[in-house]
Amino acid sequence: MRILPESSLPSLVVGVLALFAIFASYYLTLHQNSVILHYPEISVDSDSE
Amino acid sequence: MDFSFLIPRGLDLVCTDGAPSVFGILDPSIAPLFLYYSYVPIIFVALLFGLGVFLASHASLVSRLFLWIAITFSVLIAGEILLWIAVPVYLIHFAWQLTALWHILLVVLIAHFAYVFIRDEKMPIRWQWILVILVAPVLALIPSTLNLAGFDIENCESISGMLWTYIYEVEISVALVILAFCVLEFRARIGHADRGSALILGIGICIFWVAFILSNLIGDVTLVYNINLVGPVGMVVLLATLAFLIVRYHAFNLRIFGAQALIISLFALLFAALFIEASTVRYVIAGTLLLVAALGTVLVRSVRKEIQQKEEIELQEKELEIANKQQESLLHFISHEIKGYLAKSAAAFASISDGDYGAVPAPLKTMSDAALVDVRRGVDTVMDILDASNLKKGTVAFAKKSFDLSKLLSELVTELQPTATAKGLVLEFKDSSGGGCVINGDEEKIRRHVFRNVIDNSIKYTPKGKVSVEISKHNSLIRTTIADTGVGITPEDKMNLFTEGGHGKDSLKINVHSTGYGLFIAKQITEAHGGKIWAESDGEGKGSRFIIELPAGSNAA
Repeated sequence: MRILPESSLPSLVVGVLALFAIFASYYLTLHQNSVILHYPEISVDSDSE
Repeated sequence: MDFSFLIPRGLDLVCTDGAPSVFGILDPSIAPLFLYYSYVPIIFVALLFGLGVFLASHASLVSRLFLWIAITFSVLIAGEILLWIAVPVYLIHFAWQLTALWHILLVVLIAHFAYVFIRDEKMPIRWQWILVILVAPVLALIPSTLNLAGFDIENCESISGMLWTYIYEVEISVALVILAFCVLEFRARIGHADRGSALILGIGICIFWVAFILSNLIGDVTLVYNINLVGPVGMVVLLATLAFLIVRYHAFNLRIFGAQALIISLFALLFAALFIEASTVRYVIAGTLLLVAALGTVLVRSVRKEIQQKEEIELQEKELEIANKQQESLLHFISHEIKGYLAKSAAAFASISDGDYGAVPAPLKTMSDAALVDVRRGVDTVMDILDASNLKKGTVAFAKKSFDLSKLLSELVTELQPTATAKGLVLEFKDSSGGGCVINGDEEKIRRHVFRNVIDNSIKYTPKGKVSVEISKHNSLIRTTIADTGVGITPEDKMNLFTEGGHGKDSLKINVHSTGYGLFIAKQITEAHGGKIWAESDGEGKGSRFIIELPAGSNAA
């Protein structure tokens, strides 16, 4: 038995992926703080090279 | 259940260029004033417009898509504001990450919206899947370092990853496809009343899109983020385009909403200025606001009234057109049927008169001859009505060939001479052309419907005196003047002389059999041959002149 009409499948896929993007970004960035940080020292060093 | 994962951590790591004065995380003083002036009212107007269209058009598919565009766009702009004024590093990075999401959702929604708006049907499922395939990689990779490679603490900004090259490519490609689609629709809709709507929407979307993408792209490349601020103003162009389409082409099946939306937008923009400008200017702005509100109310009311009247007239016009067409086809049908019966009767009476059924007693022959004349007149009348109907519908074929008009007129005058003589009239023909009056046209139709008709008319409406037919040449035109000493034409009668079924005020007293179609048909046929016909008269009882000009044919000397 088909639960959803075929025509709403593409919207559903986009919706699910969008929710994934939001929650995964939230979790990784704001909760796990897994962001590669570039500090001034690094950029100063690279400039001097 | 443990909801601790909802509480953000690391908000203490902040950019040093701002002091968090609002909620401990925002510093509104970092952003330029222009940000509030352009972004805040645009969010307000876009949401209001989207919601207005959605509610007024009873949640149709196209209005639902537009509302989603307005919401996504507003969230994107709100995210941009957050990027400017947030102080914690991870919060900025999070908002920056999601920018890719709003961008890509806008691509999908605008492409879908453009399709549904222009074609007025659902987007085929195959196209929807193509869009999904285009955007799915972006959505899946948003949390990754391909979206944002890292965060530059010194400049307080995220570092864009490779994904953004793909996002910009998708955005530009989709914009080009939408524009091409609009142009193709515009070209395919020749003769449609709403032809322009496709092109206008296409241009509107493209201006919005180009302003939006280019400002982002240039801002990202040059790292001068003030350029990004200009982009969302493109949304105003899109909204104005839609407002125009609503008023002009009844887009979304709305009528009055466009004018209201424009006024509300103007009001919102001015309202935003109220919070930015110095206190002395505020009074001026407040005054302007009141003026806009007052003028806006008047405008909306007048537009509403005008649109209602226009709608009523359009409805009546449509009804009238349908009634007219029905009447015409009925008339055509009846005339066609009657013509058949009359033709059979004419043949029967002709056979009786000619003695095909044996010797005919004198009283029967008299009756039969009289009946034949009447039946033939009936056939002529019905033929007139049918011809007029066919000429109007444009279903008359002309068998054109070169012939001598002077010869045709001379023959006609000879043919009609007995009728004129019987009325005691003089009918004369004069050729002042010097010869070579060759024209290219349907000889039979020109003879019967134009010249015979007009000369016959002149004889009918001339009680005494004469009818003269004269042919002359004027450069490339051959002019025939049919002048009589008859009843003449009043200025009022001249107005409807050549109209369908048009009669002179007293013409039926003189010619009881007049159908009123003769001169209408003569005019149609003359014009179909590139000629002109008109009447001149010095007034009632002073005779009349009918002038027919036809272009000389290729064989003319």
